[in-house]
Amino acid sequence: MDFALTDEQRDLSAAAARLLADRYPVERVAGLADTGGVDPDTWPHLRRQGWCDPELGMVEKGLLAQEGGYALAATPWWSTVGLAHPIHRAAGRELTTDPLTVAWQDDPAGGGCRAARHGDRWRLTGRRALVTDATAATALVVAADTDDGVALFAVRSPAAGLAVEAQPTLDRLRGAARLRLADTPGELLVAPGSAERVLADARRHAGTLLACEAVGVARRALELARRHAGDRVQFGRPIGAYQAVAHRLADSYVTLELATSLALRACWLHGAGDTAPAEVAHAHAEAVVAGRRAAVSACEDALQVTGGLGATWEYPLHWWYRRALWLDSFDTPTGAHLATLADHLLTTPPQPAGRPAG
Amino acid sequence: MRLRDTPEEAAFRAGLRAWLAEHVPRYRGGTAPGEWTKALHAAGYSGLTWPVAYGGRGLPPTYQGIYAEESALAGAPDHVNVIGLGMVGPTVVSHGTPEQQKRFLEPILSGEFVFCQGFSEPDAGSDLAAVRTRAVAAADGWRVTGEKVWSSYAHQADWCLLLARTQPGSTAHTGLTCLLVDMRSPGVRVLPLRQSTGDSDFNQIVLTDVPVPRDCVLGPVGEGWRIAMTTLAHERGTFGITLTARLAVEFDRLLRTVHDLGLAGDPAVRAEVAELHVQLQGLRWTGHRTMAALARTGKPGPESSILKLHWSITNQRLAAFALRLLGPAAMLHGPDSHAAGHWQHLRLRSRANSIEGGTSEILRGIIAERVLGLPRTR
Ligand SMILES: Cc1cc2nc3c(=O)[nH]c(=O)nc-3n(C[C@H](O)[C@H](O)[C@H](O)COP(=O)(O)OP(=O)(O)OC[C@H]3O[C@@H](n4cnc5c(N)ncnc54)[C@H](O)[C@@H]3O)c2cc1C
Repeated sequence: MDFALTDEQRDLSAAAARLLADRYPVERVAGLADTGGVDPDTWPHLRRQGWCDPELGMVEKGLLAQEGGYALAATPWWSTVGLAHPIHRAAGRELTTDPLTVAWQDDPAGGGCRAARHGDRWRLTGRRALVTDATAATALVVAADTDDGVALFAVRSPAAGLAVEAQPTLDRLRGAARLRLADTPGELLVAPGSAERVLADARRHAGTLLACEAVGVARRALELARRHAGDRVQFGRPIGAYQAVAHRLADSYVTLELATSLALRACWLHGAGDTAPAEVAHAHAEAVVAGRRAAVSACEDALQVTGGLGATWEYPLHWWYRRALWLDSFDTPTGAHLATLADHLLTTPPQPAGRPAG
Repeated sequence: MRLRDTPEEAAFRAGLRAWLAEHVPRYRGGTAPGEWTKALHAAGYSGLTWPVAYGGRGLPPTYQGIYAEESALAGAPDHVNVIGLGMVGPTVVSHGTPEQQKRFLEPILSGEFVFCQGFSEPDAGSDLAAVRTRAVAAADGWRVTGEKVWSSYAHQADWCLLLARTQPGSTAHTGLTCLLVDMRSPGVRVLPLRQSTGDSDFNQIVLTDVPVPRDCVLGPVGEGWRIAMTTLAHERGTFGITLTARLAVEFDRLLRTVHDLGLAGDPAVRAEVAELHVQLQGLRWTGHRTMAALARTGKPGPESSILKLHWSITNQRLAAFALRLLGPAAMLHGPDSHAAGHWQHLRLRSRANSIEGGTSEILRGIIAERVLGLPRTR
């Protein structure tokens, strides 16, 4: 067993960090958030650096996701590579570098999405909501009901009868949109029967990358707090010299490291061909639970350590906090992940000298 | 990155597992000191990572990790020479003279020399540099006088790695020296202390003018602090894997308790079980990351400082949860209680986890200062 990054992986990570540090200084992050959170300029740089390469391994993608979370990169990379690519791959499509996203969630205001067949063409009608990065996407994967069950369709954006309405979001750097489709042409990507599994796999792929992103968010929050604790002087000493502050940050580091291990492990298992599906699913649940916790608590610890400054709009920490809250609520709730694990752990009593689970 | 055993590792694991299955029960309970170490040594499972020249097998740290996991799973005894094998041995490998290496390493491996560690004193616990036990130069070496406390297994030990002040009037980290003290020397008295669990695994050691020959000084005179830090790094680093593996066994036991008590369908119980599992898995895989860092760089990485700290938190959380599961039955202890009071014992014992081997406060201080680079706290 060797749970260490290779030199190539380290280099990739470092190059990604440099690119993003260059493109996303803190002021720019705040500026982008104030103007709708879309950065049209960075995509070509990501492409050039190979962020969308079809050959990219899962651990490599996880490292890029970490850096994305650290920098709060305002690009549709995650929805493209994390969500849409696995579906395109399953559909036997060539993976391009067009920004993409996937729409499968029902609009809480009501109304699903149906697809009807007209000869060999399909048309989609209805709504999808909470569609991440939809305004930046040039094509969408849309889940719609057919007479034989859910299928996945490719829809161009813009397209006839398609309206993409931005929804106001807590995390302004990762926009959501509502799609309204009225007889919109779609191309069948994955037929009913396999679509449900393909979508679930894609969500797991994307979710594992979000666990990595969460680790990046936590790392940045800790970094901001660490720096502040070294600089800010109260009662004649830097506040980091007080144990109440130092120990809080030490705990934050512990939580971050544990989550990092689980996120990288989930990536590795996801990428390893010979892993049992259940093992991948459990590692995924563990990584997501630990990642969300780490991101939220690192931001909250950092907010405490930065005092009144941290409570202002101008101090940038809340942008990472907002991302942490987005991560905490996106897709499958933490309670459902815990339930998955409990099912696995408590189905049968373990043998007296049992192997540790997982 | 490769999160599975290589064919060689898998073969080693399988062989070890078969060997443990056959040998562990014989040594359960009432083991004579060193007996288990002897058995391990005879089978070639002692000193896996030690240099071949010293009787070890010169294997990469992974093998030590596999040993830790498998021995915990097999319920192998918490053998008394854990200090000799895990801490004193590696320190002698790094800092001992060739004569000392020849004299001590084989016998530590074979179980002939069981070691204890005499660092803590009544006034020097967290503040270890406040050690007052003094060693005075004599014609044939040194004479040691003072008092040590909480020395685990001293009542069964043949030797003690002891930290003493050799320079009169010196303070803090300076003027300290590490000594290898024969526990049968005149002037050594071992007084067992009773722990809150009722067990007596640690002791007070009273030293009165104890002779220590010159060739039993470990490392340079006056540099005992540096030597002691090597020992503690091993205590906190590699031992983390063993602790985590044992915790995994407790977790399996917890799952059985949940079933025994008919609580496997209780939503609150299920949620807590899953939470504990995530904590445990985090520790487990962080342990493997630490081991990879150790294999590459030769020293435990910064992640290692978190293992002991978080292990103690998780072990305490698990023990507390287990007692909650028992409800009013938790008030019993002994033969009438569930699993003969295993959880009651663990709950009491686990309280010491955040004290022994460096308190959680001290470990957080180390992380804050050395890993995060925060200013030194006072
Ligand atoms: C089961 C067990 C086995 C042990 N085995 C051995 C052994 O084999 N050999 C050996 O040498 N020692 C052994 N010890 C001793 C152990 O290393 C010490 O108990 C430990 O280092 C703490 O020292 P102390 O007990 O003097 O507590 P103290 O140092 O008095 O600490 C008391 C409390 O104050 C806190 N505190 C102290 N200083 C600070 C600070 N600077 N900042 C914040 N908080 C602080 C501590 O965290 C703790 O909560 C063992 C202890 C136990 C419980």
